[in-house]
Amino acid sequence: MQHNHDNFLYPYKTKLVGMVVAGISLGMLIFHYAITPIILVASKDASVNGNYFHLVLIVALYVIMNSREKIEDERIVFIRGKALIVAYRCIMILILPGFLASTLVDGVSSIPTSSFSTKILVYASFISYFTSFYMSFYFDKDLTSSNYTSFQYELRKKGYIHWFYILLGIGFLTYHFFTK
Amino acid sequence: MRNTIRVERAKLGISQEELAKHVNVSRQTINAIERDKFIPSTILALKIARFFKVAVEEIFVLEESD
Repeated sequence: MQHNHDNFLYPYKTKLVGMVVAGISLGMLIFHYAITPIILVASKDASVNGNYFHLVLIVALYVIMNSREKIEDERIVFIRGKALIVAYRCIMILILPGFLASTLVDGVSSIPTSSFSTKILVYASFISYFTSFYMSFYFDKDLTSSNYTSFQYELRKKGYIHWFYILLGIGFLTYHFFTK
Repeated sequence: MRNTIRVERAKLGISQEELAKHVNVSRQTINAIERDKFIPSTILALKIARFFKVAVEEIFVLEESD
């Protein structure tokens, strides 16, 4: 009986390429933002756009996320699934309060779709995915389980979890008012 | 569920790395199973038991809390 653990995943070598590309694009991005003020001072109408570097970095991170590990076994498949759940929750936590805020305040249901908010969503999902994956991979810390003494678990146990979401919602509403 | 993989390994004098190679998983997976942080699938449990030439129930033991 065989288990196929590599469905829809790129080979391990692709991950290595992705890591190199991600490193280079991150370096270019840092360099870009470091020299942008200098360019703007030098030529007043210079149109400086770092979106190309963001795009390359996002693609590289996506490739890393969807590549096999060196030894792909059932535990890796398991923790990858858990990490995807964490990333999904992170996106929902970021989207829903904004969605709720726009509905309550403007009466129009709209999700923020600016380039900036899209980048935040994408990077937040990657950060939460990789944090969860490598915490589980190296330290066996499961961010989705309530068996562990985590911040979220403590909040749940003490019944404060509702306040956490209420405060989050108030925060987004306040942000919405002040940035209008 | 607790297990006696560490004991069985000690009897044979083999490392986690060697056991991992024999059952086609990573060393971290064997380590996680030994520390009861990960419960293996039936297939992996059977492979481990076959490697040690013992019944699977001798290695993986259900506890009252399970």
